[in-house]
Amino acid sequence: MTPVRFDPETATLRLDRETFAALVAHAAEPTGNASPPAELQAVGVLHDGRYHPALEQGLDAVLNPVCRLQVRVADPHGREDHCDGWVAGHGAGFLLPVQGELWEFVVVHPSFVPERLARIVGLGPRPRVPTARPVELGTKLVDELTASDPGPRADALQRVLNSGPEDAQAIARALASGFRSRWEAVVRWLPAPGSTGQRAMHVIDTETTLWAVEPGGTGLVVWPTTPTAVWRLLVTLLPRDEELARG
Amino acid sequence: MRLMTYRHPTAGFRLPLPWDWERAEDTEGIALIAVEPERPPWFRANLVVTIERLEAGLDLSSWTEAGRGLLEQALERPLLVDLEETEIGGRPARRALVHHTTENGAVTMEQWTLMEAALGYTLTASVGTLEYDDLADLFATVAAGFRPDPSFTP
Repeated sequence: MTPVRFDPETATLRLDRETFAALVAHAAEPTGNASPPAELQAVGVLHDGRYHPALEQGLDAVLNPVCRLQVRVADPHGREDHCDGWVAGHGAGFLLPVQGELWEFVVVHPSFVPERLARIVGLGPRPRVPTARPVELGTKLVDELTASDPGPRADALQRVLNSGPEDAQAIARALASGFRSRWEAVVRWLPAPGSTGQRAMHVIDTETTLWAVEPGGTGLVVWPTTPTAVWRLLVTLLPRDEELARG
Repeated sequence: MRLMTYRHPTAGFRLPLPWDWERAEDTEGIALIAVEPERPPWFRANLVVTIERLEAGLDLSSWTEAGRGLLEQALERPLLVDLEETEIGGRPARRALVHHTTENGAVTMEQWTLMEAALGYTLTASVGTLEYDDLADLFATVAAGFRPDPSFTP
């Protein structure tokens, strides 16, 4: 079992998934039969039957979420991270992979959700590509161009660079210059009438620019975007009050 | 949002401002502070203009980089989201987008820097992060309309 560590200053709890599941089970029914994991008490997560104030709002979000977040980040070296988030009115909790069996449960105020997401996906300054235009590509080709396996990725890049449409070559050149990651963030909620109940973002990140990806045509539409535009999407990712089912 | 053309009474620079934002001029070395009307408990979006005399030979890039380094040291948990070389009124300018933590919560700060003669002008716009998208276009409009007064010497 991974040793549990708790930093109340940053509202961060390091633990394995099994201990996290036990924590959530106990938080759901603190007076039930499930006894809290002893290691959580040892690090101060629980004291006299109460959860540490730094974690309370995050645990409440896990148990009673207004919306659920899922983030997937795939890098060019075969690493694919999946992060979960739960957001409620006064707190948000993220379960983030650290290394191996180690995870971090981090609690933040909901207004910090965009910042947390930006850090998860590595959002930061990128050069502009003023001449690139939106281009429609097959889903399979986008998957090949961003494959975690360098062999098929290089083959697909070469194919597009040699004989692909000019617009697709711009993306291939960007990927050839340095593929950083491909990431998706999805938020889901119980919708009010007229609300879709979910919002999603899909981005390909390269050394030379960011590319927004959306369904379109018979596959995907990929177009150059900027960190500012991505930030504007991140700050509007969470549902507005009127999008939420009442009750 | 209704905008007015504002001219600073001593430094002479001009920019469009929301007509109902409170203003304070030449306080504690800050040329202009413009703050949106109070909406408790929300962070009050604001625009700040500072002017500094630059050392001879300093260019926009090195001045901005030095200033950004100091700014990031002064901010809590800064996250640099974007950096862009741009243009304001025909002058080269730089824009930075930074997220940081304040006692009032999460704040997104957008900052433009430009030079006129031996003076460096900084326009900083701040807003509660979840409201950034609502005001981003306003901030861009204010920045695009910023004009230093070439004849001004402090």
